[in-house]
This record gives sequence, structure tokens and C-alpha cells, in this order.
Amino acid sequence: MLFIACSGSLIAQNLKVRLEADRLRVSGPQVRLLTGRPLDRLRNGGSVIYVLELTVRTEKAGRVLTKVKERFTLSYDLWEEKFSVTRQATPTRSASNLSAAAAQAWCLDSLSIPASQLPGDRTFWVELEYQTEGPPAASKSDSNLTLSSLIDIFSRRSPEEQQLHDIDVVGPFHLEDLRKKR
Amino acid sequence: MVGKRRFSALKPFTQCDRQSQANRALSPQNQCLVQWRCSCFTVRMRNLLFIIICLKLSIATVFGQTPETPPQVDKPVIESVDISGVEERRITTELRERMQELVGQRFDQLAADEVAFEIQNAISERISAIRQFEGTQPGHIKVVFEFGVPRIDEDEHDRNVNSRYTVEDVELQGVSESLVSDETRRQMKDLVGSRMDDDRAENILRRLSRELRPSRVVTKRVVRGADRKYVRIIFDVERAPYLNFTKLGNYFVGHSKQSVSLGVEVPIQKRNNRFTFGIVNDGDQLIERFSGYRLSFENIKAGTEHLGFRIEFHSYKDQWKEATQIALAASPQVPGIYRKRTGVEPTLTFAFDPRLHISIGASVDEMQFQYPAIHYQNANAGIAAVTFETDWEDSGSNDHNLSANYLARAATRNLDSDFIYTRHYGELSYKFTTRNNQFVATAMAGAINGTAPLFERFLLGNTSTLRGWNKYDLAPIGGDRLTYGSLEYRYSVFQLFYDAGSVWDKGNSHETSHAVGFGLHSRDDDSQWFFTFGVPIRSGRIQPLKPVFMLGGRF
Repeated sequence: MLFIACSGSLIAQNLKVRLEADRLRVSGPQVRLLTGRPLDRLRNGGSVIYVLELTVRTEKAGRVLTKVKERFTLSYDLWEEKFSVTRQATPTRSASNLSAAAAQAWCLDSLSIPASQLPGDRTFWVELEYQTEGPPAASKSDSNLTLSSLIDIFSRRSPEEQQLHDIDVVGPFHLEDLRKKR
Repeated sequence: MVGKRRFSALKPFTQCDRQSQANRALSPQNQCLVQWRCSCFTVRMRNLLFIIICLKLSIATVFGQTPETPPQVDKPVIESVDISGVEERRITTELRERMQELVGQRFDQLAADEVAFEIQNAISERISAIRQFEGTQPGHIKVVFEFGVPRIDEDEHDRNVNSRYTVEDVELQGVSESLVSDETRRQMKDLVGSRMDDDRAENILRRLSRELRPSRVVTKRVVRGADRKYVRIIFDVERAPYLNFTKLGNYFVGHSKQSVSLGVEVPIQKRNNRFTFGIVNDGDQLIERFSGYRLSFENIKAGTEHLGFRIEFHSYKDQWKEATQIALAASPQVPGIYRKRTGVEPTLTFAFDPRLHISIGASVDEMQFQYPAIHYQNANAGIAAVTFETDWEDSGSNDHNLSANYLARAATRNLDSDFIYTRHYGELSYKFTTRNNQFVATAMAGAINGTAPLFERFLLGNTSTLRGWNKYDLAPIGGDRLTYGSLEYRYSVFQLFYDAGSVWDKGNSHETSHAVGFGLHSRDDDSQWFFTFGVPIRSGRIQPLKPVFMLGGRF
């Protein structure tokens, strides 16, 4: 139990939170998006869709205050041996010739939450959830059992589609402390 | 390690010396005890810390995680900023100056956004993309603001950077092309000379897998071509393994009248060997609720890929429903209930090909009976099994799957068995899939001759057979004869089913029970989730007020 608790706390420290240009951003040199089977698929010339969701909560597993979700298509240039990323939103944003670390940093940098949406009078926790495209996994906040959520669960075709899914949570933070650190 | 222990054990005594004042009130024996506990606690904590660090490091090693932190990435410097999709004359000097402010700065998405939206507002044109391209120097980039309608052809596959390359060649390696359909060969040929399209390549991979299964498996690789403008697509075909590892299975199922059952397995696999530890608490599969653990070792290539062996050991505690005990009292010819069941089952399997397997082996089970006095009895049986499974695709791209199993167990005095019986069980299943529609038909039959222990007896009315009935209402001690059939229609995740069957003892009268139901069912064969309502049909009438609710997953 102690080991699990220790490893959990170590993982939680992977995510760095900062306030930049009055927006909350995260970075995580140890957050590994490009790993395992998705990376194999990329190196085989395929493309992989990553879904990143940044959530601010009242507590570690508390109420959601605000969140932002982005989808990114990554591919790996077989000749250049570099990654290419496209953010699937309007306007489209893309970058090419990136190293693995740069591609990952680019995705994380595209996630931000305005400081105005953060509570100024209380602490909050920041959660980063990342997964490769597939049916959406049951989110911690989606505890309601609805027909559509059931259909989503039952429609999962192949475990191969769910190759990566992880959550990092850090906190508690106070807005003023983050402002002072700038 | 020993030295470390000694060092750790000595140091706490000095710490305890400081506490000697506090311990003075204690007797000499108690002082020693306090000192000993104090040292032991510290040693334990240090050892625990050491173990945690070791575990952390070993987990990182096993799973390929390196402890070092990847380098921090600096944001690139903007070398130039350009606009596309807008006529040159519409870009005012002010806008150009605004764009030039970005040049020489480290790239900041918010700053780029600000400039992009200023231009958007000034020229009343919608921005469609902000792109970063490699600069002329390392660490430098060129930024391009794209305006106008987004490119129509930019779909998922165009976001793959390799789509700019031309397919030089498509190869099929490991099998003769004559084994592949003309249509698939045509599609492979069509790819040559076109832009690399991963979706099309994946479709061909799926076609090849369907056409060459079950004896072969296909994987896809995209590699560099002879020139920087080209890539090659290679489909590697390998012979499918003749034998696959047996899954004890992870499952969680619930039946509204029989409570929940679950099984968890932890496999450790290396090449052709697999060791599995599983725990189970199951009131679904048998008449009894059995809980305990099972261990198995399996090899799927014993000298030849046609031959494998497996040995399983299990130890269960058994619980019985009152309905079963009452029914047993009225059926003296059926052996009684037991408290514990421990057994070992070695089997040898020969695979003619990936579809057809034959197994032989033995099953040795020792049961602890409670009545009339605690005693042990053995059910030792020889086992023979034949399994056949195949799937194919017809000309209309519909999938068919056919599986058949036959299992025979014979317990004789020669095997030192206290129960003498033969048990025959057969199962046939056919599945037809066309787009979102699936039709499943299943049939089972079984017969036991002689006196078999309760775990061998057949039953109906659980989460997978005669859904809508409770096995304890239908046949609380099971039977030695079984017939069963099921028809199921699935559209996407929705299912409708009709089950019918009978379980009885030889010589007794019997009648067929029916059930209908509906629910949700996963579309994935590897992990089956279900959420089902079943309703019994009694005296020719559906009884909607007595539904059985079942849910769970097997994966």
C-alpha cells in the first residue's frame, strides 16, 4: 500500500503547472504520450489521434470547475524521422519536423485555461487525461448511467483501439501562488 | 545485504539509549523488549524503504521506463511569418509590421493567435490554419497563416505527414499472391503510384487478414522507398500459431437471482510458456458456488508447434443453496454435497492445424464430504476433447464463424476413482455477421452415465444458458441429461434472444423450458460485455413480471 502511495505521488509530480500570459498551462517532461503501441504505429507510417483533456477540480477527485479538451493527429515522417502534429480544431494548427519531446510539448502547450476561470479564493487541483483515439473511457465525473453511455461502452470494438490512457493529477494550487511564481 | 541489516540493527540501540531515562520505570525485561521493538521497527521501515526503491527500479526496468528525465524542449525561434490564401494587396503595411514583430521571437501560440486574429478581423477573412514549418537553421521555424476555406481534401489521412510521399511498391511477403483474391490484388496494385494513404493500406490489411485466416496472420509495414519521394508498403504474412494459450478468464457477471460471480487471472508469459494464477468466486457455472484459487502452467510448443501441454491445480471451497440441499434429500441416487474440492488436471493437446485440436488428459479431484461423517472421495477421470473453430468470408463480405467442441470424461476404478461414470458433452455454435447485423445459433447436448459428483452434472438457467430462468428453480441439483438451443439476433449493440432447453435425470420425465429476452451486448469478441433482461415462458405464456436481469463482462 505504501509503495502504491509512494509511486502515485511520484507520478503526480510529473506534471508541472504554470501561469503564462494569464492562462493556466501544463508541461510534463515525464508525461509520455509517444510510447508503446501508438509509437509503433507511428513508426510504421500510420497516424494516431491523441485526445488530451485538462481539467481543474475543487479537490483531487472533486467537482469539475473548468476543462478544455483537444484532439491531435500525430504522424511520423519516415524519411525525415520527425513527428508532425495537427490540432483538430478551427483554425487548424500544425507543426512538422518535431522531435518526440517537441511534439509532446507542442500538444501540451496547446492546452490552456484562462486564469479568469480559476477560483481566486480557494485551492484547486489540475488533472491531465490523455489517451489515444477510441471510444471515450468513462470519465470520473461521468458517473451517471445513461443509454448513450451504455451504448458507448458496449460499442467498444477492439482493445487495440485503446492503446494509451493515463491520468496525472497535481495540486493543490492557489491562483495567487501561481501568479507569484511567474 | 547481511551487512546492511547489521548496520541498521545496531544504530537504533543508540537512539534507544537516549530514551533510557523514560524506560527507567520499566522492568529490565520490559526495557529489553522496548529496545528490541524499537530496533525492529526501524529495521522494518528501512527494509520497506529499500524494497520500495528496488520495486520502483525493477518495475521501471521491466516496463522499459528509464528513470532519467527527457530533455526540456525549448520553443523554436520564428524565422519568418507568411500568409497564404489572401491576395498580396489586401495585406496592409501595418499588418506586415505586426507579423514582423513575431520574427526573431520564440514561438508563442497565444502571440501567434493574437496576430492571426488581428489579420482575420482586418481583412474579414476566416483563418483556416496556423502552420509551423522547419526553418533553415536548427531550432528555427517558419510560420504560415492560411486563410480562406480549409482544403476540402484535408481529412484524417491527409494529416499524416507521409501522405506527401508516393507509394513505390506494395509487397506481399511470406505467401504466394495466388492465395489472395483478385479484388485484393487489384487494390494493392492501385496503391502503387498514388499518394501514401494509410486508410487504404489499412483496408487492404483487413482484407488480407480475412482472406488468409485462420492459418496465417498479416501485419503491415511502411518503409522508405528507393528515393526520398517514395515509400513502400509491405504486408508480412506469417503462419498463425497452431495453439493458443488457454484463458482461465477474467470475468464479472451478475444474475438477479444468483448474486455475482467473478474470476481474475494473472498470467506471466514468456515465449511459449505461460504461468497463470487465478482467483475465483463463482456461483454461475456450476450448481455449487465455488471460491478459491487455481494455478496453471501451459506450453504451446512442446518440441513441435503441433503439440502443447497444460497442467492446472485448483483448490476450492464450496457453498450450496438450500434448494439444492432439499432436492438432494429427495434424490438419494445423487451424491451429496462437499465442503472442499481440490484437483489437478494435466492435458496434452495436438493441433492438426490452427482450427482442429485434440486433447487427452486426466482429471483428479478430491472432495471433502460432510455427511454422514467427514470423509474424502475422489473423482478421477480420463479426458478426451476435440475442438474445431473456423471462420470465413463469403463473396458478399459477410463473416461466418463456426465452432464445435466435444468433451468426454470417463472415471473408472482403474483410475482409483470412487465415482464411476462417463460424461459426454457437445456444443455447436454458428455466427453470421453482416455489417451491423449478427445472427448467433448455439446448440448443446450432454449425457452422463453412472454416478457423477455434483460438479459434473449439467445445468441450465445461468447468465449464459436459458437466460430468464433461475437454475435453482429449474433443476437445483442439475441433471445427467442436457439438450439446449439458443437463437440470437444482434443489431449493433442491441440483442434479442430465444433460448430453449431441458435438463433432467435419465428415466425421469422432462419438459422443455423456454425464455426470451433483450439487452445490450458488446460487438467485440475479445471482451464480451452484456446487459440483459430475460423472461421465462411458462405454460406457453411469457411472464414479464418475473424477469431475470443479468449483466457483466468476460474479457
